[in-house]
Amino acid sequence: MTALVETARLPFARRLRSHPATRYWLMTAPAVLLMLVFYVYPIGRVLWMSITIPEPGLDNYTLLATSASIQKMLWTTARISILTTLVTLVLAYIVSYALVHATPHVQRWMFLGVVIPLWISVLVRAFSWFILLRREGLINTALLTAGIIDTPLSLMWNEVGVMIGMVHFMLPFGILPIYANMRDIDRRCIAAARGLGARPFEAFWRIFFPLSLPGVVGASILVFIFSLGFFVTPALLGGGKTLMVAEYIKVQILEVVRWGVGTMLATMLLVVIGVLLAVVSRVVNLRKLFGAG
Amino acid sequence: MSVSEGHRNLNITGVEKRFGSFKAVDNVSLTVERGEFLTLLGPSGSGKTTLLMMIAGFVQPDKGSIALGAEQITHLPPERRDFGMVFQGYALFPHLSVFDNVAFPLKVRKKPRAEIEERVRSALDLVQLTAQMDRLPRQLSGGQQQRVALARAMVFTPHLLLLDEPLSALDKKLRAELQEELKRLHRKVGLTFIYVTHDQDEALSMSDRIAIMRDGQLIQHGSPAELYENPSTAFVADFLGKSNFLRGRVETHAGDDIVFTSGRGRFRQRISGAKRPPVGSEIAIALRPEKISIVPPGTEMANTLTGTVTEWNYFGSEFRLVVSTQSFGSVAVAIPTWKSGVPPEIGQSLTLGWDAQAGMQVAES
Repeated sequence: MTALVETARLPFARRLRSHPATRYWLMTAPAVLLMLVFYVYPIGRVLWMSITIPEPGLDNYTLLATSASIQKMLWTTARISILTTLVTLVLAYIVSYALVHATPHVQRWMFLGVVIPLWISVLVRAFSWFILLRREGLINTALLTAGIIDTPLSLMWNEVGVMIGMVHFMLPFGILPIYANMRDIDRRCIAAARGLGARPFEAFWRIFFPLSLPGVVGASILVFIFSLGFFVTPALLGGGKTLMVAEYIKVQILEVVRWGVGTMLATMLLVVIGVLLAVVSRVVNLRKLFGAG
Repeated sequence: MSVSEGHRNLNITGVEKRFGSFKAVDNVSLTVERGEFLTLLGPSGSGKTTLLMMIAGFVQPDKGSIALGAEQITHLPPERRDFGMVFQGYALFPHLSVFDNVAFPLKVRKKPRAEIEERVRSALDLVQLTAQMDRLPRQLSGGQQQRVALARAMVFTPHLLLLDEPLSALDKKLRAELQEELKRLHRKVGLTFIYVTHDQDEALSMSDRIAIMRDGQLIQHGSPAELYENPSTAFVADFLGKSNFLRGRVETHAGDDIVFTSGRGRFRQRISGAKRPPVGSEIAIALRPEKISIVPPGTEMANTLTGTVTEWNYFGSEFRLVVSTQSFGSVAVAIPTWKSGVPPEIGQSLTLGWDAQAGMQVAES
């Protein structure tokens, strides 16, 4: 029995030795297979469904031009994503700036503060915001008792709530690329600028800020792309009234069972992100940005 | 920009800086004359860079004051001092072209565009980089970057120019070239240069005056020749050039000389006047290797000493020997090659000789 297996294996093994490249291909085969079955195939199916259901043709795509509800939803998605990205960038920039200038001891604690939210489920975080943002929530109660406002602010079930939750989620993804970039800026350049006659703000604005821009661009792509396809937070804090594309797709597929429209929107999302990355990669080195050295 | 009304002296009075319990600069007073090339020389950790940073305004002294002419600048922020500075590693702005790097000090001073253009061009002309105007710093060689840093530091006609080890990143040959260029530039623009280095050869060849620092203190300052010929302490004698230290006890005074003994030997040293040590006291004499010669045995000379060669090295222009002696242990000797006669050999015994005026009395420490 063993002898049989050995002889059967021999030519195969010899072939492997004679072609080192095949060996490498075989080693990566499980991963390639996994990607094909669980990634490429489903995405291919989605693309296929978007042009075949309910009947072959581009009918689903013409909806982009004709359906007012889809246009309104896409506009909402774009607006919220852009605003979230802008707010996140400003906050992330401030935090990163403080981080690079902090003493190592303080820096450790600050990092903990940045990273811990990443370990907490996005659901838990969305529900935590309920407690703070509700009409009878902590913030409204505090403001009312302090006499700053007369009627409770509506901080959730609307775009404000969605953006608060999203910005909170996105902050670490904004901070990390910006911080990584700022850390590599030569501090002597700032000292040199001061020595050459620039006031502190001028040294920041003319030297530090331009040098930190690659990090800002990287962070903005990351945050914007995440924002576009964000699901849990808009669904919970938007209360069904602020509809973004991910939730819209879910409703199309699971509730009204219009697979064609759902898959068309998913395809659009994929294309938009692809185009965005292609455009940005002409300006900045994406591989370096996302840590591939 | 405050128009610099000629260049003024820089007066440093009793400045002190502590970092925690570490005294980086300890009660240093120094006047830098206008137009002079002053070098702060010392080993790393001697406080020379901290002193420069206090002059530049990046570090605040805990005590003492710094004044430019009659104007107190001790607590003035760096951007209001109008001092040009060349940093170690140059600190060129990587995102700006050579032109924009040099234009930076003029832009922050809100100069009109035409004036900026003209002054940047003439500054780049001075360092011969007009052709590389549109390049980015990373497209330049180390020597070119250094010259951009210089042009940038001088373009706004600062009161003085501070240079923090500007040549330390360059290879030996380029260094020598740029030393020449810096000296030429200094003569040409007549600006006060304060130059920090740990390289004694650089200090000796470039400076009008050297201030030697150690452990935060200013040990001695003076012209290179003064320091080389009359070091006040054993540290200075050894740091500026190499020295042998002959330690012994004063036996008698003989005319202008003193006679001191060490081991079985008796030696003469010219010390007259107030500095003459009393009979019986311990003294240290610094003796440069090049002031010792090899003499035939039995030569009549103020000082002779026999020993055996334990080490020798050929340096093209000179031989450097280490000779083991009974009185002073190992003695370093430098002999011009053309004078040496026979090539020395390890184990060979020979007689060394030097004049009574050859040594210099130094304080210990």
